[in-house]
Amino acid sequence: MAALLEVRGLCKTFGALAVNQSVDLTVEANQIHALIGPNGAGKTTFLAQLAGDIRPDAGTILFDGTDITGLPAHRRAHLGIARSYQVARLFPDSTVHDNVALAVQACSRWARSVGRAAAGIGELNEPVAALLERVELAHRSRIPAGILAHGERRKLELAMALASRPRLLLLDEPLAGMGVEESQATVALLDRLRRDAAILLVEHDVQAVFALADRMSVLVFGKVLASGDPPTVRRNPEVQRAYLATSGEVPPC
Amino acid sequence: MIPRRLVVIGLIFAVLAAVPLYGADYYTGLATKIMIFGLAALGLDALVGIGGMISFGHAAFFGIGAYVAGLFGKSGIDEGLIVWPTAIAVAALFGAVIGSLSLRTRGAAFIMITLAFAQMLFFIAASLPALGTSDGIGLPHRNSLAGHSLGRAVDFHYVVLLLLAGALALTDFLARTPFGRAVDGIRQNEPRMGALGYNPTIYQLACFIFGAAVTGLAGALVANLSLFAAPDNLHWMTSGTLLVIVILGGVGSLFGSVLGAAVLIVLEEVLAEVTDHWMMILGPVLIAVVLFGGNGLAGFLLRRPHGRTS
Ligand SMILES: Nc1ncnc2c1ncn2[C@@H]1O[C@H](COP(=O)(O)OP(=O)(O)OP(=O)(O)O)[C@@H](O)[C@H]1O
Ligand SMILES: [Mg+2]
Repeated sequence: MAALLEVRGLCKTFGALAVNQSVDLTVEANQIHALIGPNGAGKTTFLAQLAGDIRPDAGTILFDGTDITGLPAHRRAHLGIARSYQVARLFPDSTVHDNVALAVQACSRWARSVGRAAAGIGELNEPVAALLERVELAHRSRIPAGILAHGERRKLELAMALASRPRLLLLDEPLAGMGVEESQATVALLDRLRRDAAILLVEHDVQAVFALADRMSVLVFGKVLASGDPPTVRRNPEVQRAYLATSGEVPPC
Repeated sequence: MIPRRLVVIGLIFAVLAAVPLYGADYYTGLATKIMIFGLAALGLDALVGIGGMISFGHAAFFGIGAYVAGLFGKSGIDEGLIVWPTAIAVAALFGAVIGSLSLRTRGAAFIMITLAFAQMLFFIAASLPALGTSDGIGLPHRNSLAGHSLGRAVDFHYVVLLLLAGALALTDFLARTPFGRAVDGIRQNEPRMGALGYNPTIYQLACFIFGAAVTGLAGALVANLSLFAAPDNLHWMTSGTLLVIVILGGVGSLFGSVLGAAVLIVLEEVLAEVTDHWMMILGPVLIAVVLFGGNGLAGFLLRRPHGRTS
């Protein structure tokens, strides 16, 4: 069976800085693939290229067998790719509910969304409520998104990403800024999501990564050092050295 | 409780409706002019305030509406039910062409390209004999409406009032629909909306066409007011005037366009008596509004005690 996402030789430089150097990566359907690496390794840049926010200099991105390298972001979203951002990008003056509504209605054709105007925005209420329930934000739905706590913003990002019922979720540090309980709940949610979607998970929380990942890749200085099932990658001496050299973190054993 | 915004809008229209009852024809004409420029600026506010597209060539559509009325007048057709929808349609068509080309750019380039298109139309109008060159086209008389003459200033005034109210209600309604919210979201954060699955350009183009259509109607009406379609209607100074009205009234407030037009036109009327250089006085007023007014007159009127607007 062909992989859901297949990236070949992706390259991106900013000026003299080679942020992604011929990155190969494969994500299978209904698997969680963790992408880890020290700060500045190029993880966010990699996700941005998959989502269509940044054009790669070279390489191809295949999604479900089709080449999407040149597609604009909105077309990729229609194909079933959704992302959340490392720095939450919400509409701060709109309520939590309206933020999700915006995401829900994106999946309907625009002409229809005008036509349905008379029926009103109320029609979106049900799916929006269901999404907020799923990320445990229902009680905050009438609050402007701008005043949410850090962890809550993350959850809202997640709800917005889920609105399109994506087949591939690109999550950039979804657990950052969450408390222990919030974090556990989100890990459980991501675990369940595996049934509906594949997830490419960029995350620094090592415990979460090892709890969730079916496969993992390590990105260091824009290159994939190792890729495979988590226990193997963890034992890889190069990975251990890279972690010690760049961040001083001891790799989790 | 009725929202403050509706109260303010109600008051504005009550005043506009009362002018012919108490004022001479001169004042009625002035109020009609305010409404027409308010309508033209409403179309621009849809672009700038909701769509986030700063056009410096929006007078193009004002002029197109005026010339449609002028050409109809020249050929002897004066039924408003034919002239005005045609003006709207032609302006929308030009809006579709100019918008789709301009929206290949953003920001400063967008401002320049819209300006360039409007100036191009200005020079075409000012040099084509069929459009009367720099003299423009005179209308023999005002359009009628379903066979009824609008020759009396009062009748025309109330028709314009109804059209303005209808356009404002429609714009306000559209802004609250899922479509309007999407356009607003794209103004706030275009890449984010793209990632959610919105094609930003399509939404912005639809908004651009809508704004062009509204201003096109205002153009047909201004030609009826002055019985004249002139290249001036297309000139970049007119585009600038419309932008000034939007900023004075409050960007994105929609109804503020009427207030901005009222202030600008009354100031022009009063100050032009006193000095030819009335623009020199308007300048500081505008700067004061931008610096201290929050969001124009609408922002001032809707201000809450703790400074948030609704
Ligand atoms: N638009 C840009 N222009 C120039 N340099 C950039 C740009 N975006 C990112 N960079 C640089 O590219 C490198 C990789 O950045 P990126 O955000 O992809 O890393 P990351 O792996 O996500 O790091 P972190 O774990 O800190 O989020 C960094 O050195 C960053 O400063
Ligand atoms: Mg990052």
